[in-house]
Amino acid sequence: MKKSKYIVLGIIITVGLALAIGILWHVFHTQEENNNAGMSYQLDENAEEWDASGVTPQDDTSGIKIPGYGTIYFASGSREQSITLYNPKENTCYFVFSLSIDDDTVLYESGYVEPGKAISEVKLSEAPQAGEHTLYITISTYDLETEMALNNAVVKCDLQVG
Amino acid sequence: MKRMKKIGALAMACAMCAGVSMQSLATEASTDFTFEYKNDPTYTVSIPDSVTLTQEGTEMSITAEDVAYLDGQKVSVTIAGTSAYRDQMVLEGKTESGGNASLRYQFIMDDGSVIESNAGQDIVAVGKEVASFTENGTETFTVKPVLEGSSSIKKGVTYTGSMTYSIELVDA
Repeated sequence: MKKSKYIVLGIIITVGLALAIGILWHVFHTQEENNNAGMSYQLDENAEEWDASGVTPQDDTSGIKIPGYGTIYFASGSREQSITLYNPKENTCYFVFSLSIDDDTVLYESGYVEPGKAISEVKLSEAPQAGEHTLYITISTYDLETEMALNNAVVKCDLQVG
Repeated sequence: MKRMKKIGALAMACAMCAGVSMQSLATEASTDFTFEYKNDPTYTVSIPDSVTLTQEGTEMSITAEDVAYLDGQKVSVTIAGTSAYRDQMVLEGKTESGGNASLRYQFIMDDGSVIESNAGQDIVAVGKEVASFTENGTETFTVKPVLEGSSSIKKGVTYTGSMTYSIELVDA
């Protein structure tokens, strides 16, 4: 009788330990799978190679490429502002940028900017006042060889100063 | 019997502890997000750099690229000014004797409408829209010299001039 009790006890302990080990193994094994595989998605069979040339600038477009802007945000009370004044690399002319607010005094003018280069920080002659304004970015273009003036553009955009 | 019960309870407790440990062994992961909102260009408009006029007229094109997320607006290209007096659509030159010569020119649009200036008739070109875009595309029109109706047109003169375009987002 005593012997059979120990046998039953042994079985209970064994089952308990086996259950514990099984649970722990499952936890670690699942974590390792997730860590190695990241998201557990499968490849979408509808995905195909896509030609992006239709929506990216075509190098063979003739003319002078003028960058346009959505709303620009300047900090009030500061003469130093961040804005990307870019001359697209496809162009064959220098850009000269000048900035004015509400078509008033010119607050900034650059020197020649070569194709492929951009000015990222400008120092205005005076700090803009807080509020909603219109920013005028005048782009004067000049032939790279002769420096003869070519057609120009004025890009207007909303300016938020806050 | 009592001892067996105790040992049995201990074994079951071990199994329960292993289950509870699932919670404490859970790992945490996090993702850091950053975004720098820059005042970068959002679209591109190509304007003609130079156009050589012919008597029959010359085609010129304006193209817009990277046009997206306009929220009901359009990219509008209008005439902002010219190099001539009072922003007239006029080309200017010098005769061999040094005299002034001028020549009007006009844009003939796809729909047949004409954009030109005429000081004598108070017709101005500034502000006239030459192209608009709600998506990527090209608009083409014809530029043509006006060879009649002015005594200032002289032969043997090279006439030159430039135009400034205004580009902005406006309500469509």
